Amino acid sequence: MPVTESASTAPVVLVVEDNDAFRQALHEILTKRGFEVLLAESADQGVGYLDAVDLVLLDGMLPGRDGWDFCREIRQRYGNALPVVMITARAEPEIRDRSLEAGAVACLVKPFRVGDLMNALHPLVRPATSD
Amino acid sequence: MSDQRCAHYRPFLDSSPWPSWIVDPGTGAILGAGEEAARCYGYSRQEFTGMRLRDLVPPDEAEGFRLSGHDAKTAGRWKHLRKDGSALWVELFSREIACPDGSACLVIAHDISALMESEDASRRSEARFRSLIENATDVITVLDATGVIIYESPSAGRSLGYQPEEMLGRRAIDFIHPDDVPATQAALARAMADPSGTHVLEYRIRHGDGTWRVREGSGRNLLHDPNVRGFVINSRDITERKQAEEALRAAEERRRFAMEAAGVGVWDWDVLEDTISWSKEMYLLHGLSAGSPPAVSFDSYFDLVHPQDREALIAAIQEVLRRGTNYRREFRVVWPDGSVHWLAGRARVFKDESGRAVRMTGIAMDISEQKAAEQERMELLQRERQAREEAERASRAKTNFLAVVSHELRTPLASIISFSELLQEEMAGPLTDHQKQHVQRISDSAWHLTDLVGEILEFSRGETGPEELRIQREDASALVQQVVQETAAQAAARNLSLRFAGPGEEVPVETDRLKLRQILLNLVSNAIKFTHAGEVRVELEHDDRELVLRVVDTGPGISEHDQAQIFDAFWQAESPMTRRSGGTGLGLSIARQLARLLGGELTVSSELGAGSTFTLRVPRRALRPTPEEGADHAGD
Repeated sequence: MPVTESASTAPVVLVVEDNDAFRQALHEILTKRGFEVLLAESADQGVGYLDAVDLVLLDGMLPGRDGWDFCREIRQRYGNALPVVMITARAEPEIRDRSLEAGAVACLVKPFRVGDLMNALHPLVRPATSD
Repeated sequence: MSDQRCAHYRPFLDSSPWPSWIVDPGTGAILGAGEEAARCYGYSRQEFTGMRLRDLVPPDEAEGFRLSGHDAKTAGRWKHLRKDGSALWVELFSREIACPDGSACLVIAHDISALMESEDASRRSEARFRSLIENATDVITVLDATGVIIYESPSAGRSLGYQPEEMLGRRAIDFIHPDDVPATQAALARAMADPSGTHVLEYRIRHGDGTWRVREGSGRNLLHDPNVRGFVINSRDITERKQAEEALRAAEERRRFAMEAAGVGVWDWDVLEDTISWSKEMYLLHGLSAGSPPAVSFDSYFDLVHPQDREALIAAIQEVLRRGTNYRREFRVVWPDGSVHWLAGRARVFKDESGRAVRMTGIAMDISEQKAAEQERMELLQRERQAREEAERASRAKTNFLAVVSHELRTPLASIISFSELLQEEMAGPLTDHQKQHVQRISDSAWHLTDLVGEILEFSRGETGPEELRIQREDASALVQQVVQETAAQAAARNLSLRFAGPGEEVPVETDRLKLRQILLNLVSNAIKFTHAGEVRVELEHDDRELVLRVVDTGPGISEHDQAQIFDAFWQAESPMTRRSGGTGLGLSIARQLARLLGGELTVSSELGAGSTFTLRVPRRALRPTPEEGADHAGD
């Protein structure tokens, strides 16, 4: 997916998620709530978009290079300028700690309610036309 | 001057290798002499013949010579003088010979100067010896026939602490230790009756300083010797020697005892002769009867050694022989009955001046029991390690499996839930109420499934070891009240009274807070869930050792049959009501697992229609891994 020329001021969220259905769900949810969304299935795919986005929604268990590793790279390259919210399918406290240690701002456990997702994103990026 | 009396013996005198002459028994005049005699005395043969025997005797011996009577009685040892005046010791043999002109004596002399000098030296050393005795620790005491001291040597002053004159006239027995008096008297009586032989006795005697000293005395009965007329006792102080001997004997005794008790065998190998001598324990150590022939040589010994240890043992011994170091080794021997026994051996090598090993001596003891115990311990450790590794492998596999399962289930659940929400938001188009209901059910089911996945994961994590516990000091009272507060809303929603009954003050407990909380939450939630009316009461009691937590409800109760299975995993009461309440049936199983993990127990007592009481007992001091286990874990 090409980077959208952005005349609008909508915040751009990069979704890195290998599950097609859930990636699609996130795409629709975020788009409906005023975000501009870029999609990637893996860290390698997502890395090219980093300069163009305001926030990364990052799955932990990715094929190939995992999300925590990718998160550390983002933190290294962008510091606090590019926040990362991790989404994992694992509920163990260690996993949440691992995400925070890798530099994620927040961590959501699948499944989550749309409201939970918005609660996590809004302090970081907020679409102008937000509901 | 030639005498016909000796003419007949002239050939003998001329050829005798010994100084020989013929003397007139009446006058002592030398009638004829051989060349050897003249040479020995330093005279010419001419001079020597014509001398008289008394001319050969030095002036100081002349009186004796005269007293001994007849000049001719010349046999015996004599001190003679050579022509130059030097002394010549001779032993003379004389024999009367028949001569046509009357009697004569043939005298043959042996030069015994060398012998006499050595005897003289020994006499001198005897004198020295005597003075030594008189001045050293040895004391000479002479008793008369009644046991009264008639002589005491000067050394008594040093050795006995009395001046000799103090002792004279007193009975010897008065100085003896009372306990030794009977034996001393008996010995003295025996010696008095027996004039021959030396009698040795040990006895204690009171020293002049008041202490008792041990002495060894050897007595000789010389009462009948006119020169002595006494019972002579030569005695010396052996107190120190006695103490040293006693100490040595005691040490030896202890060593023997220890060795015998421990079954320690002693062996000695004469390397040069290749002979081995064994103490009796050595036979026992090799399963041989004490009478059987020993392993007599180096090679034959190794027939007794376990074949697998033979080569190494031989190599070790040869190494020790070469290097002369001490040797320690453990090896197996095979008894005649075929049984195998472990021996521990220690040995030393002795070398001669040239550095050649001449002797090797050592000890051996049976260590089969230690070895067996060691072996058993090793096997146990091995088994334990294997079991633990197995368990850890299984645990890792399970954790991995569950992580994967969790991920694989949660992600599609996340999709279901998210799309349900999208539908409910009617972004994809308006829904009828009926459709909305359906979507809600999809969503609810997905959430339920999510809970189940969580519980299953939790259940599996409950099956972990105590190393996962995070033990801290907690206040049980506060913890219980917190759970009660958290579930208060839930109880209120069902119009139930939820009460806490317990001490207001702090109840310290060492436990894993989260796990205890999880158990309690499960019990209280369950009670609320199954109770339609009445109350749920949480009681906290404690003694020094444990906490007792009861969750009492006024619910429908649990049948005896169900009580037996209620803690089994995936069990649910066969009632529609339970079904309605949902859940995996894992809650109580997890709770019990956790209770046991905390070193406690979870039990239930209930009666159908009369409510249920779940009782949780938890020790106030948590079971911690022992330091050893801790170390093992740390090392893994």
